[in-house]
Amino acid sequence: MQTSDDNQLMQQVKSGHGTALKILYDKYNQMIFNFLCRCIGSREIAQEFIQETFARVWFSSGTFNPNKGTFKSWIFAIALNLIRNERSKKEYSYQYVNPADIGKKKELTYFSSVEHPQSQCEKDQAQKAVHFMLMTLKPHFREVLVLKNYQYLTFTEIAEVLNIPESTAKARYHRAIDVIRAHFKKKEDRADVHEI
Amino acid sequence: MSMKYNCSKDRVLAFYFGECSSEEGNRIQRHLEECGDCSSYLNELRQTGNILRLWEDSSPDVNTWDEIRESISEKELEKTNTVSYYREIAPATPFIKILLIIMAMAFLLFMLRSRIPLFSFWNQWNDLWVVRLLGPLGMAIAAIFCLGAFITLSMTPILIWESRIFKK
Repeated sequence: MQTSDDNQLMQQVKSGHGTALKILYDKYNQMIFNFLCRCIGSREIAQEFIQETFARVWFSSGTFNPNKGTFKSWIFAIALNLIRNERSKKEYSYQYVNPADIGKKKELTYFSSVEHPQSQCEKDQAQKAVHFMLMTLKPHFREVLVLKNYQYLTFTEIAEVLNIPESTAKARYHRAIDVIRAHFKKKEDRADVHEI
Repeated sequence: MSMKYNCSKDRVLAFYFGECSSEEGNRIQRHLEECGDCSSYLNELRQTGNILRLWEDSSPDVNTWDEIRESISEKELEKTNTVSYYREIAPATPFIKILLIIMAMAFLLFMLRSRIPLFSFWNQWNDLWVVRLLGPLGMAIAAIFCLGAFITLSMTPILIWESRIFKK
């Protein structure tokens, strides 16, 4: 079982075995990095935060309790705390796009023309468009959407990471979907969408 | 004819992500064939998922692990240096702690008996405002305060040394 493997590795990390941390790093670095990238919107900051995340795993290994949750939820919670701390400090330009500005941007019109990008240029454009779209979501909706659609966490795990009830996590996910879908509806339908 | 089935976005969500049992999945599938709202929502989930997947995964820089190791080593070294410093000035064995507490109490006792003229105001005990205000109770409060302050000051290096930040 994956969970028991992670728990055993964390026991070794608690005992000071660096190789156990390396194994955990190899297993989770990409997931954590992409989570940071998609929530923060900046690769440079994500690069900095992933280092801090695994450093905290090392120094806070004594606080990990396998009875309270999985290692996966725990490490995502560490990464999330980093994001939220910096967001509250406003030290970094945490990207958020006001939905009212969407009409002025051409990025979202991309999807109406090309849904299956073929060339690298089209793929880059598509990624920028998705990036922009995610930045229009408020942080607590974006977090749930990213954890579900990209990291494939279950809602139980998402609830553990975000420290919210599972029903709240699902409600936020539904709302995030509603917001994203509203971007692609016709102008006359947008008046029916409640502002978040 | 399919059974009556309550419309639920949560059930459609579970179906979309494959997080329901096969029996439940079959029930939802039959419901979707009849319910326009739920099948519409399922389509929205699929379209949104397809769009989101356009943003492909990326990887951290290749030297990230080396940087993590370096960062951990630097912090460990800093911790070791700080622990060594405090160990030099306050070895925290139980015997030393008991000795310090006894010394603190003896010091306060001598202060109250005016044997040590270090703090001359203790010679005029009744001049303290708290004593003038509250009498014997004020005397007790002043004594407790001074004892606590002295013990805290002398124990500070030991408390810091034993604090969690120095524990691996």
